[in-house]
Amino acid sequence: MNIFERMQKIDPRVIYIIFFLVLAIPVLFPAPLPLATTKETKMAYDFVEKMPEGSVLWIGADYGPSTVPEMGPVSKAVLRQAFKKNLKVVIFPMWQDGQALMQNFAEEIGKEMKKEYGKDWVNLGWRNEAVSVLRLTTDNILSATAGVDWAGKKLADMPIMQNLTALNKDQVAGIFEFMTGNPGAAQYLERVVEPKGVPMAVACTAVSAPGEMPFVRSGQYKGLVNGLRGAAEYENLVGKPGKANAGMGAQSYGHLAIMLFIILGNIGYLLKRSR
Amino acid sequence: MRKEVPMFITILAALMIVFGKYFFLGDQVKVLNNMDKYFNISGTFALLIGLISLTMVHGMNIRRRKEGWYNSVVLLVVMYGYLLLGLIEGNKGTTFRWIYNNAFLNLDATMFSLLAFYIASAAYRAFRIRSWEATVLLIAAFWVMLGNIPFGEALGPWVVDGKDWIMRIPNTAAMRAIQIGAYVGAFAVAMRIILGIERAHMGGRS
Repeated sequence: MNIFERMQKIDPRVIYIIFFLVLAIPVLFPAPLPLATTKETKMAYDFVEKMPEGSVLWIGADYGPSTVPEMGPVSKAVLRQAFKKNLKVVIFPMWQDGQALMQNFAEEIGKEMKKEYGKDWVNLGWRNEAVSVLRLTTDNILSATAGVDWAGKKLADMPIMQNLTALNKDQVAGIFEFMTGNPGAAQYLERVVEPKGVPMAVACTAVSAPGEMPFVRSGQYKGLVNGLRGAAEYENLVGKPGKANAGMGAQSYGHLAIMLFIILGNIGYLLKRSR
Repeated sequence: MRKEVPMFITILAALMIVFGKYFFLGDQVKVLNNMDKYFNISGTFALLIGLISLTMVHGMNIRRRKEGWYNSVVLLVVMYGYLLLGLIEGNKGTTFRWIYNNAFLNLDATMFSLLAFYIASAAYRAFRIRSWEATVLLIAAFWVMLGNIPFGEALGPWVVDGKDWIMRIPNTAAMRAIQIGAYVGAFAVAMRIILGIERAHMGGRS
């Protein structure tokens, strides 16, 4: 095997080891990197920022543990912004894991910002066939959720639910949907945003962003937080850089490593072909 | 009858959804609300069917001592053990949440993070500039990757501006075309099912 063939056929184990080091070192020794804010992230931030104090922010928690590195930091940043603005936060998961994950984050941020469960925020909990339940909440939240929250506690007894009966534009200022796939923002668009006129911003994984971008251009999303970079930008806007900023180092070196490998492979390919 | 009854139910359910969604009277009598409730109930039964089916398949593996049967034992013990714990403690239970937060979350995240290594290896192998189309694809991919990291920004604002342009204009145009095409296709499949032309879901041939 000559040098050009070797450049094209690097042992996958070598790639794995280099990639592991490239990702692990920046995570273990994070160094802050400068980051400009993209238009779509700023739009999403402003969308929450413009909500009147005391109004309801509906949070769609539609992701699982596999995407927590991307979705976790932005979830925390949005919760922090909402609690800072004294918004009432209603968590509605269409993903079973979203229920536990967003509960963990809301408990953490809520405790830090002295917010009370049932008064300042609530987790409606996951239900089977949650897409149908979502549509039913536009008619009557108590009926759709069988009147109980994620832990079986009565919703009717909670102060936050006293003026909130249905998911519509008169009672909910906006939706912030955290999504990684299906069900996700598309279900909100079809069942809530278009028929009920409730505005929505979306945070999604970088791999989902190309598919969601058309809805920003059409004005159906009021903002889009794109992957880890978007999360890092959002953390900076909220004024509390966290894990997304720390992860940007790993992402940066990871991207550079992939690009270098691809360049190497192509140099080998082109040189071999020219001979 | 084995074909006609399911077909009749399919057509009836489809017509009820169309009536509930697109007709004023359908909206007034809340047809969709009732349909959603029936859907919830039938979906919950499907969960039970899943549980029974999984138990039967893995129970059989254990009885017949098939290769890897001990994995089936682990699966059944974990599944029923966690189910039982959930029934006793509820969602809010300390042990229930501890296991979820400290075992499941990490295991699931680990499984997914392995993808990063496969993607890196696959990208290295697959991205070869064998044609003009592949070259355009490679340049676009490089630009977006570079524009998404601070190093790209350091090279100049044109990197991020270019990345944003790729995402907002050509990407949006392509995604719209793909999505509209997919939805037209889904509509055609739905019509075939409603009209009884497509019968694969009933175990027959279309």
